[in-house]
Amino acid sequence: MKKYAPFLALALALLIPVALRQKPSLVYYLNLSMIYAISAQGLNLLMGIGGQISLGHAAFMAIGGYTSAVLVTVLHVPFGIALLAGVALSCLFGLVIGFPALRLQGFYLAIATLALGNVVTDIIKRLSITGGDYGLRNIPAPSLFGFTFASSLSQFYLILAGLLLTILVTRNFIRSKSGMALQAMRDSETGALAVGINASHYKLLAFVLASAFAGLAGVLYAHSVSYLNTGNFGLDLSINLLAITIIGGMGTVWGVVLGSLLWVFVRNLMGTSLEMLTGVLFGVILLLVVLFLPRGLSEIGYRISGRLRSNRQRG
Amino acid sequence: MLNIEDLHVSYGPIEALHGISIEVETSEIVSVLGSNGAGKTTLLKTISGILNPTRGVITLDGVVIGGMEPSTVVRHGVVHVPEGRHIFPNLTVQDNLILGGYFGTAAQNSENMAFVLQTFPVLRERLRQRAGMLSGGEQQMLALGRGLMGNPRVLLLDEPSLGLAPIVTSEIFAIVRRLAKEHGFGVLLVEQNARKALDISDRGYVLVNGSIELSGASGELRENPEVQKLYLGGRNVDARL
Amino acid sequence: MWTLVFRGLATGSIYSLTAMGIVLVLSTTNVMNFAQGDMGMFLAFIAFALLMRHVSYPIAIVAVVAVGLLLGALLERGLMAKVRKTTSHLGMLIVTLALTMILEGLAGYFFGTTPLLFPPALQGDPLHVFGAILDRQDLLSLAVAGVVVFILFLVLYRTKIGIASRSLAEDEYAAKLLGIPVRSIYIFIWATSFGLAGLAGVMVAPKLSLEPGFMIVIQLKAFIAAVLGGMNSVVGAVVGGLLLGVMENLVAYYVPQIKDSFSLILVVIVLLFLPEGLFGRRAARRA
Repeated sequence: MKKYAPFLALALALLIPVALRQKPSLVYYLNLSMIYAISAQGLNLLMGIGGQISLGHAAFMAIGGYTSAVLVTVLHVPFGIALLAGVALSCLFGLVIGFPALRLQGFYLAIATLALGNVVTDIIKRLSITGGDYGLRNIPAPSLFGFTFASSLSQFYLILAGLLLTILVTRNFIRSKSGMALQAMRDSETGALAVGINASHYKLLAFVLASAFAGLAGVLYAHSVSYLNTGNFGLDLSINLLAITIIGGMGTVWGVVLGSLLWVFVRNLMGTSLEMLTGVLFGVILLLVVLFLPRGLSEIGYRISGRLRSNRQRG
Repeated sequence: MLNIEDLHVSYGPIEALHGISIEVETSEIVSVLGSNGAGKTTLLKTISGILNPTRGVITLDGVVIGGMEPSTVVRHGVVHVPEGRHIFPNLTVQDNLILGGYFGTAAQNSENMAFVLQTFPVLRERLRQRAGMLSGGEQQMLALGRGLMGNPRVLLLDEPSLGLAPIVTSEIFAIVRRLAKEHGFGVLLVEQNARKALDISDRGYVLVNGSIELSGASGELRENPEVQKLYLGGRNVDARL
Repeated sequence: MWTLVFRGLATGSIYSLTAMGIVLVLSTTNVMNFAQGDMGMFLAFIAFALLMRHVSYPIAIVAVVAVGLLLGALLERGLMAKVRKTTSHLGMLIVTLALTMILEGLAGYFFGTTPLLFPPALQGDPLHVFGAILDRQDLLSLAVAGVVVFILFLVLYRTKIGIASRSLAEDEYAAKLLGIPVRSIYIFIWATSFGLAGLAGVMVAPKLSLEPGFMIVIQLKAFIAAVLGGMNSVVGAVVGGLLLGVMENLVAYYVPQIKDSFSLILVVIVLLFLPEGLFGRRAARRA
């Protein structure tokens, strides 16, 4: 039974846009959730597995999104190539930022990533191509191999593919040699060194992967929301991504999906009059999670499945 | 005065002290000997309140102090002078001493300060210097002085000889002994330097892997062949000569 | 040029006040308080509400600082103390991030997100002294900051609780052994820190427009100032803040292209090559 669960879930997921075709706005929000989940997954890798911290993660999304958007709108590059370019440039910056990050720990890394995130968005805002304060509008929908993903419904599948890709990569990474090395280092850096694990190597890898995911998320965001503004990729988003990662469950594979679903839907359920209270609610949830449920919402999932399993054994 | 009965202390699932019983009377200097890891510092930390016992009672003149917060223990008059001294390097000598008398009244503190400065004149010279600039021996004196500021009835000394030249150690030990005898302090002395410890103490306990293997008057312990072999370098030097 | 320096000192004094709060909490409790700026913002909003109800300016400031002290004490006692038992220092950083979300949300909910105009404390023309143009609000900021710093240093160096706080920052274990009431000191530190936040918020609000995010940039600069000065040094926080303010102003005038990114790049350079800052004494690598 358990073996078929993922396939069942996948089949259900594929049917969602069909089921909700009368409510494309709902699908739009699901798409947003998935995009943020993809981005948060990168942060999850960086923090949960790699034991680092970044308060500038949103900046990588901006890099990916703007690169792709500018390539497509100004230089008329096909989407597929723009996508790869966005991810690649994001990775490059991940590498560049990863190097100084190697020498910093904890709080100081937090400050450095905060500062660097700001620098990146400042620079992007300053380039005239990117539309400065007004942002970039009318970014065309993604199109691959002649097919244009024009509607939210069709974009759902594209974004779902991206999400599944990141989940697969994350799952394999956790189990891979690099993943194990990182987790060893996260738990005890001196211990890991003693066994001959070279820290820098793996930490850089974590940064590059994290930025790759964020870059991908940025590209998908740009072409589905059609509008980019550096103001949306500042500290606010970085903090929210962090909150999503932790609330969902740091170090787990599915946590970020839970976290971002929570965030997007709470935000939109609150409506415009209570919009500001979303932040309050989310902050309170984050507090409660840190205090009482340190492994995030995923913990609830584990406990339920654990109880199901033990019940089955008993019965 | 200080009474420890059947003390058990654990770090998580691992028990470090297995039923220790120790006594320190007024004006008495009691040494606790043992190799590294035997549990000496654990013992002191439990008395001073940093660690909590899992079983057993610690009392001072009948009042239970085991399991209390360090601030309560200090207020009852049990002061722990830690291993490595742990003076505050960027604070002045004076500030360090003031902190020792945190709970005292202004009158008590000025009286104690005068006493400490008289006992350790070098501290008076360096009163306004940053404590980090003092030599090892001077820092140990500062740590002791700081402890004395708290009106202690029992002093817990953890490895006071650590890192100090023998002459300095002797000087400090002599002062400790004088203080105990003249002012009625009880002293529980944890030391690796067994010879010096047994020289100034009245009684001793030998701690091995969390249990007390031997105890008795210091003179007896010094003659004990086991003690000699393990802690005194294996020879009764005096006898040979 | 002296106008620039003066203005830089005025801005810098705000950084210093905020940075002092951050460093006080960090050096004694080992928590990096990312809510320092937003607490200042929240308190500034409260001051605004009071001013709109015709409370006199000085009373509004005092009230807001008092609220800051109270909130700091409550926060430490009610929240931080509990969190400290179950989480790492990074976990506590995240708690402060959660606080920022809550504070910004509350401010936005009660006051809306449209920027509001915060009345300056002193009206009137700028003064002309030795060829420099001194804005009155700036003068007030500097004066208030100066007085506060003086009082704070008096407390830190001449009172028992101040000395005990510094000892906690140096060696928590030894402080505990001496019986120093660590939890009371934590409450004192957090209260002071948020009181400073309120003061900074109220002093700078007239120069910027009042909105939920208005202290974010100031907080970032305060962190940079703290790094510059050495994250364990309150003196460093003061000097770092003033220095940063002056440097920024000079750069903004002479090299305007890098005005926004200057401090950001500066902090990364300092973190990499001079992690102890100007006055710090421990390695910046320790979390």
